[in-house]
Amino acid sequence: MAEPARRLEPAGTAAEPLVRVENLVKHFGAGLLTSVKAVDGVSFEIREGETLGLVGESGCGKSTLGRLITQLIPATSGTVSFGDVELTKLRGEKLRQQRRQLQMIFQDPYGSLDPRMTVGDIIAEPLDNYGIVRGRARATRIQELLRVVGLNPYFNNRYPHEFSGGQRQRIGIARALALNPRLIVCDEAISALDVSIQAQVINLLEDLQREFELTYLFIAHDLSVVRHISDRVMVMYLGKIVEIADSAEIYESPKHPYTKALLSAIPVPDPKIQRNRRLVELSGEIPSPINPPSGCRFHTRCPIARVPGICADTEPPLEMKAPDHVAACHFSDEVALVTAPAE
Amino acid sequence: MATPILSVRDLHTQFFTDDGVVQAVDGVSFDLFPGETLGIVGESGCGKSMTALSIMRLVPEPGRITTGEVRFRGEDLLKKSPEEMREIRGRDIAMIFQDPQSSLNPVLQTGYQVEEAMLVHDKVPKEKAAERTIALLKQVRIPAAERRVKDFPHQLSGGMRQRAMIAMGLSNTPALLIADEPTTALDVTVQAQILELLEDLNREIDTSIVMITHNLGVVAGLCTRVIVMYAGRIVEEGPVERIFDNPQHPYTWALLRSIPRIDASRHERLRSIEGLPPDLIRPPRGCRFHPRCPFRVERCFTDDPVLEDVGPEQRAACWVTMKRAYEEMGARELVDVSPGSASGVHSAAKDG
Amino acid sequence: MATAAPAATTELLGTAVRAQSNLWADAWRRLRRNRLALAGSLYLLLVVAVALIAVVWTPYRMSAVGLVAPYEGPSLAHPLGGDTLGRDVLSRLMVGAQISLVVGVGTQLLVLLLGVPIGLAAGYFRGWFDGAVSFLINVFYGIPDLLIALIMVFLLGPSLTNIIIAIVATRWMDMTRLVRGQALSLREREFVEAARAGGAKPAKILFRHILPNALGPIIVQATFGIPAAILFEAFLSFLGVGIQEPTPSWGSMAAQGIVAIRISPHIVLAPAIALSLTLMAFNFMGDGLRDALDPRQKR
Repeated sequence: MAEPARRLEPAGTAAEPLVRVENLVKHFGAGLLTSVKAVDGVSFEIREGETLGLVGESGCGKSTLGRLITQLIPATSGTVSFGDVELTKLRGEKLRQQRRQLQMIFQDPYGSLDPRMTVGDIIAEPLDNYGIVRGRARATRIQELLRVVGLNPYFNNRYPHEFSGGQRQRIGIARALALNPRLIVCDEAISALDVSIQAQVINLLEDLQREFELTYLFIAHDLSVVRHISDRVMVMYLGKIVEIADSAEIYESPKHPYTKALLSAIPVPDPKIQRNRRLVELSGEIPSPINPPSGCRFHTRCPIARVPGICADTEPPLEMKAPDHVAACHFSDEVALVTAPAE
Repeated sequence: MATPILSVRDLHTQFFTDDGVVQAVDGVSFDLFPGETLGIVGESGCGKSMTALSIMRLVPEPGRITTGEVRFRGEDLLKKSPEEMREIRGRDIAMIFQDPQSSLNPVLQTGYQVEEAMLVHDKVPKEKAAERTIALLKQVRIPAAERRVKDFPHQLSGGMRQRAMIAMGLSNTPALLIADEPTTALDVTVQAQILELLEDLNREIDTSIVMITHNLGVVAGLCTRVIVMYAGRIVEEGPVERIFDNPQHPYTWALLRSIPRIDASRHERLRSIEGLPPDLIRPPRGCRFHPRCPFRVERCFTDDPVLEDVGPEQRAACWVTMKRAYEEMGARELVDVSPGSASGVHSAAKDG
Repeated sequence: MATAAPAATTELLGTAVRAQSNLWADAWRRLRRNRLALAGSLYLLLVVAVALIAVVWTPYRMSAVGLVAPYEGPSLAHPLGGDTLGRDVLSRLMVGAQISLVVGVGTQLLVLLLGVPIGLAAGYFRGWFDGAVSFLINVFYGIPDLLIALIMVFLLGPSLTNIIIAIVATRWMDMTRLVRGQALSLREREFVEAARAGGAKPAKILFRHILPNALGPIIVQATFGIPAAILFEAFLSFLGVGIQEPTPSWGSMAAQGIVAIRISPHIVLAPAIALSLTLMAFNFMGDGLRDALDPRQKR
């Protein structure tokens, strides 16, 4: 099988970023004086035409980050710029106009489609919202979108509950494509699907990216899917970015102990390999995002942390550790040496 | 590995719904040997969970076990009275579920719930129960078990709750533990820990485990033998190495090729299985996988294949099998033609 | 034959998994199977028919005194006998059905008119408006219904419209709170988020997405609200602060008859039974609707 062309220029060339996020913070109020620090000062870029994978465990803030970028929720502070427009400054109608460029595919194929609307109306809703097409042209566009996502174009009068999970996710994808956006945030877009259906949807997303020159922010907890689909991978832990690198690079030589632990925990569907893999065991549990640990947030569970010492005192900055590879760890040189305790 | 501890024979479980009869489990037979870890894999709706619930006689309404035998230590569980079944559940056969949150009572202390599980079956004297509870919690690697027994379920993390559920399941040292997607709701790092725990426990206390999951990676690490289910039936079974290295049923073969692997060296297009699993009210004639099968022959449309030996201890229900597919049909060269591709001609144009 | 052709086009041109049906049709199918709800609806149709007939025709003039001997029991000419003033009970019962239905349905319409928009806005936009609405709901819950109604009737005077307004004042909170709760939970659903991501404006989200999805519980609540309003009116009329003579209300008819319950039980029994059956019918229908509209009931 031919290697799908890894699109556009190699990572690292100074292509103008499509999205630039700076010092983005989102705190949710929790009680009178406390707040959940869901996203706590993150900065990164999404390059035009790439797929940026975003992984982390539940509660790390990855879904919140996706919603901040699409401006579905307002940021507490910091900026999100799309091209040369600063989205975080916009409100009301101006924001609504910009939103056409950024669409989202949601996790739950059951919850993300209004059960009271027909498939055609669901897909056309974004078009109606911006008054783009009417009448015959609208019907034609619905059929075109259904065909593009691999569904029968004459399904437009059906209701969502008549479809399987995979088909519904295709409907959600068609809706996201309706406005010809430049960026699509895929929030756990395939996690709710069955294994055999996941592959169909992944392939579809890849085809669509090529055909429509899309940029993806692909949020998932499944690192193997993220590695498959992404050009670059970004890892989050407790509201912070701990590492960003090319997807092959991050797998070959992670520079953050958390990334390493995450990678070691993913089961490989091959008994000979899986039996001999060693788990990098993390001590303890994920701390509360209400009261995150001092210094490096990972120090309470890190196998190489210096506690007491720098790791508990000073927050490590996200620094360049290799070409196009940033990580936030004081001792990233030692990560390569981290292995599981011998049995 | 002489006599099986559990043998299921021709099990049929059906759901009587308004729309018709759903054949959720349709003639499933298998054996489980003492100390073995058997994986049952398949996608949602393939009947794997219903098989487990049928063994426990916990099939929810409007479902019913219509025919079959479930022999546990030689006795047919389907012939037991509800009282006898209640005795067996938790004492001889324990089950842990996907969602530990809803399996634990939120208003009772965790330790109390583990203790209660023991006392119901009078296996442990009351004075010893508290002591044993702490020992069990330690055994499932709950740190500071002495303090944790007093915690309520919501004070524990998801992983800890699942550990507590496992402790509860093990409290009467059952001969058989059925785990239904026990790690699906957990984060990967926690999943890995729970899997390690199950592996250790299987070694330490010689409980047979039936592991029900959709995750082939989980099976690869934990199980010795695997059953692959599709549309209510077993399509393939065998030792884990054989199933992963040399699958003979096209469904198993395709499933293994459809998942992205973390250790894959380069971006390859995934080979998806086209189409959808069938409607189990009106399953297709012949082999149930034939509408999605790339290697179907004429016979597959009409005749129902049965499980036949295809290798050492390996059986598959297929008229073609992958051996023939490789030799005659060019399975190696088979390219992915995805109807999902954006224009429908992409892959064909590119690969062809 | 050994084709290696991949089974390709199954999904592209395949059919949807489940037979075509929509949610309302499903609900209707389930409702029809519920015998009690069906019986209740039939009885209510009868009440509505009687009330409509009473607009143009009653066996006798309902206010005509001395048609029969006071307290006289049922006879062929007067199937339900006469009341304390010798008026025809059947004629008065028919007009009473009108009053009950107008009060019940009228109250609920006003409650809907008030509760749905307020609840939607409070639940969806939150903020100070929600705070104010929630506060007001709690204040009204804190005052006994009877006190609210009595104050309203004394202030406004006991006309049919004013009684409806008085009952609305005691009933608007349930609906508002329900709609607010629905909006509150639906706004977090992914399809609402998806609508916002697709550029939908708030009004569209409220009326196109949130309201239709909250309609089931709203209908059920309204159905249960009707008998509650009817009962409250009957109660007010029984106390003498409701519908005023000579207009009959089932409540005031029963109040009149109660003095003669030993010698002429028909005077109190006729309105009491009519009232009970009506309340029961509405409640059965409400139960039926709740089961029919609840998707968890789906098998």
